[in-house]
Amino acid sequence: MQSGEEYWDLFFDEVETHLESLNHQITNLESSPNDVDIVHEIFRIVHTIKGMAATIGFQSIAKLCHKMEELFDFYRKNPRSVENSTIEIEIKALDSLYKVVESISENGEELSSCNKISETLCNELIEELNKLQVSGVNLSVTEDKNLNSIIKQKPIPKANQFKVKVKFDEDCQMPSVRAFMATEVIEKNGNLISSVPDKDQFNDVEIISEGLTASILASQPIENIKENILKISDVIKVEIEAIAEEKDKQYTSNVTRSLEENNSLKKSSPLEGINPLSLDHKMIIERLNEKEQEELFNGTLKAYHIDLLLAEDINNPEEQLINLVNNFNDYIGHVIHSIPSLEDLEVLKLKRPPTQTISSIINSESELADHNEEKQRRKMQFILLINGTHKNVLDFLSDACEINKVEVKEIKVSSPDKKTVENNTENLQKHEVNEAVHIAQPKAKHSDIKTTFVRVNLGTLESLMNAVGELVINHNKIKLSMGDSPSSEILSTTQYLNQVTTKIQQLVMSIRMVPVNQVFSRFPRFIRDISRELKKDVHLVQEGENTEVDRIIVDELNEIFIHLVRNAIDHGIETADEREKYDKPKSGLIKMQAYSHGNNVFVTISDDGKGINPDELKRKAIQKKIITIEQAEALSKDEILNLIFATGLSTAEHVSDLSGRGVGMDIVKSKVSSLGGRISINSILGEGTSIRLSIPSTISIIQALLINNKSGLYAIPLSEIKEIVSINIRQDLHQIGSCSIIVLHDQVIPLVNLEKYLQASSPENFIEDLPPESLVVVVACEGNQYGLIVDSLVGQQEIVIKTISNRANPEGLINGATVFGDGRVAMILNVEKIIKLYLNDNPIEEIPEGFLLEDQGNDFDERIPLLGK
Amino acid sequence: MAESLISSNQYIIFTLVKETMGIPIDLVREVISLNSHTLYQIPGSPDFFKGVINLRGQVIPILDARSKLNFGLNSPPPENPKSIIVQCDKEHFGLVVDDVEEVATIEDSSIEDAPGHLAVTHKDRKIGRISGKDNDKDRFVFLLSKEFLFDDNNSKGSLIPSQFRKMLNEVSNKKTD
Repeated sequence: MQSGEEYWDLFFDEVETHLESLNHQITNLESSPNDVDIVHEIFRIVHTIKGMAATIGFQSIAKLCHKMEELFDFYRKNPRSVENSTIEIEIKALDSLYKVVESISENGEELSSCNKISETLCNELIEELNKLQVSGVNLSVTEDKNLNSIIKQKPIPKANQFKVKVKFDEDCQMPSVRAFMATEVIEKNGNLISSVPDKDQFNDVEIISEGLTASILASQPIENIKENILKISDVIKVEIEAIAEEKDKQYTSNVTRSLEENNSLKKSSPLEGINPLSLDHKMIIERLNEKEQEELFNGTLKAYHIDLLLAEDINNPEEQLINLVNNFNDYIGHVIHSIPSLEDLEVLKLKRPPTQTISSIINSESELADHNEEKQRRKMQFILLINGTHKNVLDFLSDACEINKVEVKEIKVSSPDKKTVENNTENLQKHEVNEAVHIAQPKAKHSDIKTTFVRVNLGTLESLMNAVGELVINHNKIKLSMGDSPSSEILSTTQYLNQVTTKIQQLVMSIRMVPVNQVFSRFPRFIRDISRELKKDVHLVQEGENTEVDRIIVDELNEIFIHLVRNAIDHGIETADEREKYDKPKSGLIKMQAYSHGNNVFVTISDDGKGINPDELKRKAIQKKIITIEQAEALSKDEILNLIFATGLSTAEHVSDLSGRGVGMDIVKSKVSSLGGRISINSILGEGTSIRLSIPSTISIIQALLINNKSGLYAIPLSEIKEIVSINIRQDLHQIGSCSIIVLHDQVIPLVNLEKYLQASSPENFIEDLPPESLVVVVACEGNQYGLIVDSLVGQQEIVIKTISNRANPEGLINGATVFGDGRVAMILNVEKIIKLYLNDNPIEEIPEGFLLEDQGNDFDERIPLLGK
Repeated sequence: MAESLISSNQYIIFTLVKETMGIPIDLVREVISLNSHTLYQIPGSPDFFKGVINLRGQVIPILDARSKLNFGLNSPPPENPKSIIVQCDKEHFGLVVDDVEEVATIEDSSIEDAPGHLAVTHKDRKIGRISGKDNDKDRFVFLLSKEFLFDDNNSKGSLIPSQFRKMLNEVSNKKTD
C-alpha cells in the first residue's frame, strides 16, 4: 500500500495525457531542434509529471523525470540546437516512462523492475548531460551573458535585491526616453529583474509618465545607482526599497518570467510591435475634415476602437451588425470605418440563410464544423466618433444587441502637430494611449490559444445525456397534457423550455466531441519509429486535425489508423534507392487528412508509394478461392482493388510477395463497419494508394428511417439505406431458386423477409401474404444491395441511441434502441447482421453468378483523389 | 469485494409462484409495477427476456424470473407483476416477480449453502433464515445472487418447484432440530 492511492486513477489519466504531449513535442523538437519554445514546453511537461509522481510516491518516475528535466534544463539555460543524441536518449527515456507507468498501473505497485529501468536511463541521461556540459561550457558563456548570470546566481542573494521607484517631472517631454535611460543605468550596475510598466510599454506616454518601478539586482552599491538615475534630467525622485524576505519567491519567479519574456521579445519581429491602433489613427486623420479633427484634439469629440463579438445564439448576425452600425449613426455618433463594412454585411446577409441554432439538435455536428466560420460572422471591428464618454458607448452597445465580448479602446489624440501627424506615422504612436475596457472576458492572448480542458468521466456525460433525454420526454408529456387551448403563458413557457432543452442537448453533444488530433498527434512519432525500423525515409503531412469526432470513436480510430499507416509504409513506400529509380522524391510521403461533412467524418490516408498491382491481387484472390477465374475476368479495376478487404485474402506468408497490403484489411474493414463507417480504396500502380474512411462523427445520435412492422416499430440507420421503392408484387417480383428478387437499375436485389428475423414465429412463405403494392427498403451491405420488405414507413428522424445489454441481445440483431418523445421505444436494426443471417439461409451458390460482383454503386464509391493528383 | 464491504445484510423478499425468495438489496435500484409500462420486444433475444421498457427515458431489458429459473412456467401469470430493477456490471435489468413482500435483514450466520445433493447444485445458491417476529416461526428463503441471475454459463440451471420445496424443508428441519 502506498499513500495517495485514491489519486492513482487521476494520476494515470493525467500522466497519459502529459506523456502524449511530451511524445508529440519531442518529435517536434527533432524536426526543429532550434526551437527554444519547444524546449521550454518539454521542460514544463516533464516537470509536471515529476511533481505529480513525487506527490503520489512513484520514485522511479520522479527520478527519471528529474534527470530528463535536467537535460532539458541545460538547453533552456544554454540556448542552442538540441543534439540528436539528446533526442535519442530522451525518446528512450520517454518510452521507459511509458513502460514504468504501465507496469505500475497493471501491477498496482511500483516493482523493483521499474526502479531498474529508471536507474539505467538515469545513468544514460547523466552521461549525456556531462557530455553536453563539457562541450557546452564555451557556448553558455558567449551565448547570453545576462540571462545565464541571473539564473546561475539562483537563489538570488536577498541583500542585493531592491525595488527602485523613479518619478519623472510632470512636464517631462520624453518620459519614455528617460525611462529607457534609467533602465540603462540599472543594467550597467546590476540586473533589471522586472519593471512596471514593462519595457515594451515605455512608448505609452500616459503610462510611463506615472513613473517607473523596477525590481533590480544590484551589483554596485545601491546608493551609486540612485545617484546615477537622479542625474538623468526630468527625474525628480528615486525611491529605494529593499525587497522583503517573504516576497523572495515571487521575485525568483519573476526572474524566470522576465527571462522568458525577454526571449520572446527577442524573437518577435519588429512589425509585431506596431500597435493596430496606429492604423485606426491614420484612418481617423484621413476621414475627418479639419473641424472634426480639431474637435477630436480638444476633446469635444471622442474616437473609440471597438472590437465586438456577438452572443452565440443570434439568428442573423449580419442583420444585427447592420442594425447596430445604423443605430450608432442615427443616435449617438458616426461610424467612420468598420470591418466588415456595411456593404459587405449586406451582401453576406443576402447570401446566407439565417442560422438555425435553436431549431435543431440535429445539426449540432455540422454546426460544430462551421463553428469558426460562424464565429467570424459574429465579429466586427469599427471606429466610432461620438460626443460623450465611455459609459455611453457600452450602455448603448449592450442595449442594442446581445454581446458575447466587447473591447472598447479610446483613441486619444493630443494637440496636433500637423506636420508630424500627417507625415510621420511613427510619431503617431507616441500620441496614442489606449485604455481598454473589458466587459465579459479579456481579449484572448497568445496563451489562450491552448484550450483548457476539464476532465469529465464519459459515464457522467452519458448520465447527463440521459437526464436531458428525460427532460425532452417530459416536456413532450406536458405538451400533450396541455390540451387544445392552453393559455398563452403556458404555451410560451413550454416553447422556451423546448429551446433550453434543445440547447442543453446540443451542448452535451459538443462536450462529447474531441478533435481527431488526439489520434493524429501520435503519428509523427509512430511514423518516425516505423520508418527507422523499416529503413525507409518517410515524412508525414497531416491536415484537418481539428475535425471533431465523438470521444468513443476516437479511441477506435487509433487502431485503424495504425494498421493503415503501417501498411502504407511497409508495403506502399519504396526504399530510397527504388524511389530514385522511379524519379520520385527520396523521401516518401504519408498523408493523413480529415474533414467533416454532414454527419460524417472523412479520413484519407494516402501514400505516394508503389501502389497495388491489380493483376497480382486478382491472382491471389483466385489462388485463395475467394473468386473463380470466370468471376475474376468480369471484375472492373475498382472491384479488384476492393478484393483487398475480403476475408482470408492473405495470410502472413503471402504478404511480402503481394504488392499491397493484405494483412488484416478485412479486420480494418469490419472495425470500420462496426463504427457504422465505410472504407474504400483507390490505387494507381507506381503512383500510390489512398484509403478513405467515412465514419459517423458521433455514434450516439444518428439519422434513421422509422418503419412499422407487425412486430413493432424499428429504426434503420439512414447511412445503410440506398433507396426506398414501392413494388408491384405481381409484376416486379422474380423467383430465382429459393430467392425472391427484384431488378432495380439493372441490378438484382434479393428480397429479405425482415419479419422472419425479427420475430421467430413469422411464416416461411412471406411472399403470399404481401399486399399487392409493397414497400422495399433497399440497403447496401458489403457492396451488394438487398431489399427489406416493410409494412409501412413512419418517417425520417434523428434518434438518440441507447445501448442494450449484450445479454439481452446476444446475436446482435439490433444496435440498441431509441426512445421517442411520447415514450415509445424502437429497436435500431443491425442491417449487416440481418443480411448475414439471410445469407446463411440462402447460401451464395443459389444466388445467380455475377450478382455478387455487381458494382457497388454507392455514392461513397466515387473516385478518391490520389496524392498529388 | 467492494460489495461485501458495503453489504447491509438486507434483502428484498419477493414471491415467485407461492415460493419466497430474496435478493441482496445492494443489487436493487428500485421496484416498479410492470403493468404501467409497455413491453417492447427485442429481436433475437433469449426467451427469458420479455422485452424492454422505457423507464423514465432509460431502456431496461426485462428478465422474467420464472423463465430464467425455469420455475413454475405452467402456473397462471400474476395479475400485477412487479419488476425489481437490479444492477449488474453497470447495466440495469428488470426482474419480473409475482410480488414484493418486504425488506428483511438476514445475518450472514443465518445463511448457508443449499443442500448439495438436491437438484442441480450451484455454489451461489444459498438459503437464508428470516427470524420470525413474536410468535411467528422462522422462515426460510432462497437467496438469489448476482452470479446466479446473470452468469450466462449457468443459464440452464433451473429450479424445480417440488425439489425447491424439499430443499427448503430439509434446511428448515435441520435448523429446528
